[in-house]
Amino acid sequence: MAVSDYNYSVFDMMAERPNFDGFSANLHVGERAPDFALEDLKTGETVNLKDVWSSGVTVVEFGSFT
Amino acid sequence: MDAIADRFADRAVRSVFVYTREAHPGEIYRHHTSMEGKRENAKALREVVGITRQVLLDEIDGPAHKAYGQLPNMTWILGRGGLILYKSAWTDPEDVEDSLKRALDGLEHRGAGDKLPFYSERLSWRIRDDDKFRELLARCGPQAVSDFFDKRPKQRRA
Repeated sequence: MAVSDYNYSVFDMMAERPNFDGFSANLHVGERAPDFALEDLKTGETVNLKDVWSSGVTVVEFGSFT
Repeated sequence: MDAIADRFADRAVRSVFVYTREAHPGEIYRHHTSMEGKRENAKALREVVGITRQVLLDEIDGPAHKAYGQLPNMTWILGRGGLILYKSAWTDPEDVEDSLKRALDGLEHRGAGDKLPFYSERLSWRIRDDDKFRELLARCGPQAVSDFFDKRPKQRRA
């Protein structure tokens, strides 16, 4: 299967380390979050994050199987 | 996190789960090469874990995931208008719930005019449970376990 840097096929802790180290450097509390168009898994419809947070305080968890 | 979503739903809190890439691909749940495959993994995750929140998929190359920091299990709390109220490098339900309560309380009081926000940072702490994490990795397949536990550099203590 094709592999990209983002969708790697083998986890490499050292390659991912900079993301953890740099997490506090960008997008701070008190700033505005960026909007993105995402796909609703159930309906297939496009959902903009801004439409979610405009209806109330929003908890956004990012994740996968692990 | 689903339980928190349920507990705060009556306070107009929205809760979503953004499915990213597989952080620890294995023989069972592999890395994504197409949106179709990504959807299949996301559906499997929803079933296996029993996620009841709205599940949203990022694009195949993860533009939203990258913009928010590209960590495997972050949580962000966003106010109306997208104001960042909380960002956490790791999803710890206890920490999220505590922060959510404080955010809602603060917003309510700011509306009433008797509280003001201020900026703060802290290092939070979570329980280390290697056995549990090994179990989670094993869901993706043996490769996910060995890529993490067998290849990690030895931890040094300060």
